Amino acid sequence: MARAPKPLPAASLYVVLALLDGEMHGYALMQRVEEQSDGAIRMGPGTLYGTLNRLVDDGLIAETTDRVARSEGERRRYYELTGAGRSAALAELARLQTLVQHFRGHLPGGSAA
Amino acid sequence: MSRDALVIRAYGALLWLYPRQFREEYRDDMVLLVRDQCREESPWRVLARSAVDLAITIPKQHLEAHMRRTPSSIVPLGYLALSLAGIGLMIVGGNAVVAVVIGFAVAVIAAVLAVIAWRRSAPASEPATVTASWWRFVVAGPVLFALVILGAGVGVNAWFLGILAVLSGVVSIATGLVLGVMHLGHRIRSNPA
Repeated sequence: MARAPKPLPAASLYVVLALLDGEMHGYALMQRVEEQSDGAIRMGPGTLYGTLNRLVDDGLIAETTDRVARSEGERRRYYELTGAGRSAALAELARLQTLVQHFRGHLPGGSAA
Repeated sequence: MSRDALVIRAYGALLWLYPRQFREEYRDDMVLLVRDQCREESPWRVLARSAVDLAITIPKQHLEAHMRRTPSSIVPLGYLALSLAGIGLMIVGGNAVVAVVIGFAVAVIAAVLAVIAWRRSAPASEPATVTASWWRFVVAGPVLFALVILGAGVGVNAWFLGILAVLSGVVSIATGLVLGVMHLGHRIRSNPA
C-alpha cells in the first residue's frame, strides 16, 4: 500500500493555505498566517523566509516579482502557489477535515461520526 | 539614531550569522519585514522575538547549507544536547558558583529553545498530547542516573545536586509510566476495533 505523503510542518502548511487567496509578499503572508491561526503561529523573518525558500525548492510556490507592478522604490518579492502547491494545500485541507471528522466526538457538544 | 533604526541596524548585523547564500538571497527582505513590524509595535519586542527566531533558524540554515534537507528534529535535539551539557557543567562545577550559574543559564535557555524549535517543526495536525511523550520521561530518568554515576566516577563533590538529580530521575520515570498508561488508554478508546 502506498504511504500517504508526510504532513507539512505547521509553518509550511499555513503559508500554502494563506496563498490559496492569491499572491502575497512576505509581510502580508506573515500577517495572514497570524490571523488564520488566531495568533498561535507568529513567524519571525528567519522562519518565514526559510519556509519560503524550502517551498520554492520543493516547487510548491514560485516568486512572481517580475509579474507584479512595482511602485517606485518597492523591493518586495511576491509569491504564489504553483499547480503542485495548490494540490498540496487542498490535500492538506482534506486530511485535516478527515482528522476533525474522526475526532468530532471528542469536541464539546460534538457527536461521534 | 531612533529606536527603530537602532533595532533594524542590530537585526541587520545579526543576519551575518546566516550562511552566505541564504543571507544574500533574503537579507533585504528580512530587514524590510522587521522594519514593517517596527512600525506597528514596540521595536524592542520585535527584536526580542526576532532574537528567538534567529537562535532557531541560524543553526537550521547552516545545516541545510550542507544537507539538502535537515530532519525536523535536528535543531531541537541540538539544543537538548546543549541543555544537557549545561547540566553537565553544573555537576562538574561542584561548588564553583560561576560554573553552576553558567551551566544553569545554558541548560535553561537551551531547553526553552529546544521546546520552541520542536513545537515549530511539528506538523500542524499532529496531536501534540503530552501523553504521547511518555517515553521521553521514562528515558530521562536513566539519563539523569547515568549523569550522577558519571559525576561520582570523576570525583565530583556535589552531593546536593546528585540527590536532586536522582529524585528528579525517579519522578520522571514515574511520570512517564503514568502518562504511558494514559496514552495506552486513549489509543484503545480511539481504536476500539
